[in-house]
Amino acid sequence: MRTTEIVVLFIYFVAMIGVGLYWNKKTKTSEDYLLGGRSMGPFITALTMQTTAMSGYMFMGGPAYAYSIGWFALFYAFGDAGGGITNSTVLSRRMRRLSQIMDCISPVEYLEKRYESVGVKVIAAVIALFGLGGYILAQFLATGTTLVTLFNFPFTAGLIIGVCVILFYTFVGGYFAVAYTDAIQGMIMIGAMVSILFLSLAKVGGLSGLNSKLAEIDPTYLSIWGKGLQYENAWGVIAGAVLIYFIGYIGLPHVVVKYMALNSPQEAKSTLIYATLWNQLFIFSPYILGIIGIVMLPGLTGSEAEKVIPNLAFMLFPGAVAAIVLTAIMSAIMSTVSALLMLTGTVLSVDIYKRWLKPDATDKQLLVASRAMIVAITVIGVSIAILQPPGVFGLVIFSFGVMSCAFLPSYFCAVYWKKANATGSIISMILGGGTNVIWTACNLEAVTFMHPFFIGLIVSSLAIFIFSHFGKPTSLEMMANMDRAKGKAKVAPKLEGSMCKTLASEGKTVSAHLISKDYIEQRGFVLA
Amino acid sequence: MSVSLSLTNLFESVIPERRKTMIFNMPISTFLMFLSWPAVWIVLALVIYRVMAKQDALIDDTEFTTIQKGGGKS
Repeated sequence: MRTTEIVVLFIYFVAMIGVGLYWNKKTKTSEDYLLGGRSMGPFITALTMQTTAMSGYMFMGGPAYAYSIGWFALFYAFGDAGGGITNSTVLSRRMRRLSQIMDCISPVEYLEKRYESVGVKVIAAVIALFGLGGYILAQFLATGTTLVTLFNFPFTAGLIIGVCVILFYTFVGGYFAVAYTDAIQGMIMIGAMVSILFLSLAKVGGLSGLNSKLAEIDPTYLSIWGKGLQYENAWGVIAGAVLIYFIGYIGLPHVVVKYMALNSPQEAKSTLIYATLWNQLFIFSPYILGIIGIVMLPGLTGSEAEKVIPNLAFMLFPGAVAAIVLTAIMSAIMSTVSALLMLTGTVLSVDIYKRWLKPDATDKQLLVASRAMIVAITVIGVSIAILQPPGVFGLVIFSFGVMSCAFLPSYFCAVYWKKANATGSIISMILGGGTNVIWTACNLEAVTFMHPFFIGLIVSSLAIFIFSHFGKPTSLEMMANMDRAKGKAKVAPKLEGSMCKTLASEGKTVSAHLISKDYIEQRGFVLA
Repeated sequence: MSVSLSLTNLFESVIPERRKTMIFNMPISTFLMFLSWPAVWIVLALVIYRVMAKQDALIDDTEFTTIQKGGGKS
């Protein structure tokens, strides 16, 4: 075991537990626990949204992909780097208002109430639980594997220790703890990534030095079409690679729930700036480090390529600093796991327990149920993860694609298209998610050069557009709610001033009349 | 076919004999395609921020603003 790294990791774990305990005292109601009392400011929202979106894949899978294909891998980065803009603008303000108008604390409940259909809830809950379950399982495995490979823990012990820390702060502190630990983890991630990038670039002679060394190894590493020009003119694959992370996040329930927790719709614009800046500093770095790995760490194969960043950290930094970089990898995983656990607990407690099992549950009972669900999911997930089923890591991208294709049109149309109804939403979710499953399972991407996300999104968008013309139309009440979600126009200050003046003079006249002698005598009152 | 060809010309391939303009020892097409984006996104975010600020100034969101219970606001 590496003592320095373990000591740094231990300090980090203790700090995360401390944050959980601190927020435990502030959590009073189920809305506090599940949605942070809808009181999150823009900085915390930006960081929790982006760190939730970035899992351990960014530290391990991203560099490994860049290591294998060269600059082409950055197609995933540039869509992702713009994702903060989409996340903070498209749905945020309207969804924040509509969720409060309809009194929803779960993103599945939100779809049910907007589309006025229990069917929508059932389908959405099934897809969400399937997608989130796969995602959680993959992240649990990543937790165990990371502690094995980076800190030399035994797998089972590493898995249990890592998950117990995440469970503890999520369980006791709820959404507050998840959001604030995400923010701390986001700062660690960015500090580690930027410092290792600058040092590595300096080592290879800057960007120019890196590119000339790459050209010596294989000039096609520098191509926009990937090593060996393997994706030449494959625009369907490129469009999918860019779009999946540029717009895909607005279909993920564990990301859209962040809008519902915003302190005010007006905070969305500041969230946009923080999220965009964080993304530009963070997202390109792992891919560029993967490319640097081609030069500095030649000959890595298979899963060895996933360790490009840890290997560079050990090469470039002294023990304690390298340990912080390793902690950043754990941070990326933990920030995603805690948000996933939180949301799965919300879906199970609000959308299943309260909706069907105990509709008259008190706020306290809901709080207890949420915590019990989080523990139950963790126990089940760890029990499966200990067995290390094969192919689970692939579930991350698969779950992401399925949820995104299924939910994106429904969330988008929920606030922008009044005509979108339950029929359209249900068929869109089934066809969108189903297309992604079939496309991935049959590996149709290799045959058609079309990314599963790209196809799934086209199908689900067409489905909601076509099938919303059938079935029960949106009620007038919901249309009015959607109008309110656009935002109530302020009265112009000049108009407000003149209205006040008019009302004031009218008020004066009425008051004068009420206390006039004639009026009092008419009514038969007697002046004291 | 013509579209595909014109796109190929636009983002020219980088096999050494075909490349023309280089920046940081990489083809300018690769540089623009990947490394110009941080600047683009930041400028776009600032523009959108201004647009959103103008929209927000016209909207009364008091009923949707949570009164702080101490600690939620960053």
